[in-house]
Amino acid sequence: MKNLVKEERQKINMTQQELADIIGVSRQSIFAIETGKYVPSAILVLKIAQLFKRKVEDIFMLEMED
Amino acid sequence: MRTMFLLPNQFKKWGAVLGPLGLIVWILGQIGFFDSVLLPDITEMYYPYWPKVALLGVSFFSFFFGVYFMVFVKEKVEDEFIDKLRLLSFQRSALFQLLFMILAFVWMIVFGQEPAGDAGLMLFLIFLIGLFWLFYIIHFNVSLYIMRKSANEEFS
Repeated sequence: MKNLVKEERQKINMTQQELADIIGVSRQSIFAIETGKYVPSAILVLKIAQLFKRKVEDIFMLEMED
Repeated sequence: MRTMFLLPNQFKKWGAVLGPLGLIVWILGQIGFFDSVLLPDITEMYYPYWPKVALLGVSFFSFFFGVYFMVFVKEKVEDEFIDKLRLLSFQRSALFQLLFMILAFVWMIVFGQEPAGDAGLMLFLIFLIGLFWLFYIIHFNVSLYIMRKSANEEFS
């Protein structure tokens, strides 16, 4: 699953640490999500989408192999 | 998945000190490194053996609790990514232990080098349990370190 978390975060000039603090995870978790090393849970996906005021499917997209 | 029964983060430092220190003292005690101090006169029939037993007991339980503190301790930020990393480390440790056990038994059968008696077999099985926790601690902490390092490189 690919995502646009990094792009959305940079649009509003937010750092990884700020995003991590707001949604209650560590900075390495944000890094892992942005680099595709970790697929977040539904709860975390919804929190991120709410924060960026976007639909979940606008930020997280399924790939062919998913 | 939420990992349960985790101790507060400050226990990690205690574990990092107690675990290795306990193991080193226990090994040194077992090979008789402290015998000249703890067993001053072994020519007597009933020499005082309890200081050595006490040292071995204290060092072994220090090691035991040190490992417990290092394994079952919360990270500063305990989130689902850490949970996943913890689960992955448990799975790989179990797999590593199983492979090691199979290879060790194959080695024993092929080369005819079995542990000496029940005590030897028991020591081997205890070693297998220790190996599981050791691999878990190394895997979990190295994975976390690599992830933190990568995140910091990206950040800078």
